[in-house]
Amino acid sequence: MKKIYSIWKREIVFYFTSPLAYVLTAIFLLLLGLIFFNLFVNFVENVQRLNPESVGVAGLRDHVFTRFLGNMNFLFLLCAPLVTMRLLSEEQKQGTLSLLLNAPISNWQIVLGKYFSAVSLLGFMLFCSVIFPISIYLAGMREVSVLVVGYLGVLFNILAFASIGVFSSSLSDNQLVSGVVSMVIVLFFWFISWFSHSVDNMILSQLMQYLSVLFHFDFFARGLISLTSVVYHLSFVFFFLFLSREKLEARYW
Amino acid sequence: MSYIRFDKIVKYYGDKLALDELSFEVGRGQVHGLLGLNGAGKTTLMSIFAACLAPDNGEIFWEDRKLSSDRIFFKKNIGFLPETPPLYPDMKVYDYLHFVAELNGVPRGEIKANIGNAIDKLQLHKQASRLIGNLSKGLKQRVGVAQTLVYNPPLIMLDEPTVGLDPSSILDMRNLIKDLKKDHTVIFSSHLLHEVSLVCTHLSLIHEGKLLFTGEQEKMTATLGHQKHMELLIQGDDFPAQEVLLRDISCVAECQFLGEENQLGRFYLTLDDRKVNENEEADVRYILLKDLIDNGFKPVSLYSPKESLEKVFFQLTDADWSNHEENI
Repeated sequence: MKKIYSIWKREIVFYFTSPLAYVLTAIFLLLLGLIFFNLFVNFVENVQRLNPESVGVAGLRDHVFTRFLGNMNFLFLLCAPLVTMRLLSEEQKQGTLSLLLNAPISNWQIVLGKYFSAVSLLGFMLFCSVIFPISIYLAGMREVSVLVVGYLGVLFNILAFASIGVFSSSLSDNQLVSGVVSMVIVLFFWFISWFSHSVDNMILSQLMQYLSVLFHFDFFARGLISLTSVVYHLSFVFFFLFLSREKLEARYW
Repeated sequence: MSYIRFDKIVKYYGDKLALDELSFEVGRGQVHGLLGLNGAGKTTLMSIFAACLAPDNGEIFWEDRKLSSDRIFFKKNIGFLPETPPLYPDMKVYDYLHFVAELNGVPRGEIKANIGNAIDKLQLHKQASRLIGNLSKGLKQRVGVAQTLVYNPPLIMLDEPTVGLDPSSILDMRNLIKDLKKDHTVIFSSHLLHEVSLVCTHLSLIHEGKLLFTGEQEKMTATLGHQKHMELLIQGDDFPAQEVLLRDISCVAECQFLGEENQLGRFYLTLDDRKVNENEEADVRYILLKDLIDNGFKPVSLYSPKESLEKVFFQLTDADWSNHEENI
């Protein structure tokens, strides 16, 4: 555990002593603020005026919070590859991976140290965004459980995106290639549910839906914790971290 | 029991045989040089020993421990500096050494002292709080060596540590390796024969994945180099004619008249390989002297001109010495 912590600490210090963490968080919050403002103004000016039934807590939840979460989730889809693409690629490129591989630590420890550092930065960005649900809370939506579970859903997606990012960065010593590969894999798991509707085979269609991060995110966004979704996310993370570990192990053979 | 024993190490890269049943031993406290041209297999061998690369066959023993069953032990006890030092340019030297010490499981209470020792040995006091990315190549190499010392392993392994350094840094590195010998066993690779001859007590010569020689450095130049060539001084006259006669001596393959001084003729003799090998146990000089006297020559002096390690190296690897002589 101490060695995972050492690797985590090294990465965190890098993130916060370089402009990366600050610039990324600032852009993320700026975009999120614009989205939130737009949703809120739209809710006040249009939704309430045209559809008086949607006024109140339900309206805030459906027209502001749920959409806000969806947009934030998409922003994390874009940010996660930026955060993770250097993790193992950079080590390979500058020859420092040998330092980790020569040390008496397991490949699991290397992968987990890197993974937790990426999750920590993305988690920090998520934490910075709590100002928005607090605003919604103050605006009258007092369903704290919905707010918390919604955020938990985003956190689960962050865990999944970061695991894909770590795996992608183990594939190449080129950060850009790793970033693009990561983005493609994340988008695949994002859009797969869209294509599930056009598949005739029922089992295949259901399988495609189950594999989609959006499908599972819907539960959380509605304030529901589904055990299936929790298992899905945890096995998703384990699968990609296992592949990353195997990729490092393959260097030995 | 030997300290480190490489036993028939084989490694393929695809179809290419990189290491061909390499076997040799490294004793405790040796400075052991792995010598070979680029692509000979030195880095592959070091990577295998550092437990970063699996051999296709063979085993490495560290006293009674095996690499195949105890990779972590090998990692813990070897300080490895690869050809490209594994340095983070965004880290300060002290922080970097702290990180390496933590990775290698140095107890928290000992980290500071270990870093202090490494900084003392490498004379990095002024650079301790500087960013690694801003250091010169020579200083980076020193930081690279320092990272092998912070967890105080008994064996230090350096892959081409002098490549790309300026003459002053090379001198520093040479002194450092000699200094490391006091507390550590050192294995280091180089294709610079001069480096090996100055620093190593023992060496293993690798060529195209095969081991051509292993043992003490002097032995290599002595047993493999000296006896093949002799310089002879004989008394007499008409030395050009004597040159022709000398070629008829049974163990002389080539003879070259070098010059005359005070009625002494100086000749450079190349001995017949087969005759030299036949008489491995006896000193070939006795046989040659006996032949010379039996054939009426008056030898005054016979000695082996000191062959350079470089020349022996190229003889052993069948490379063309004359092509390289000017470059070394």
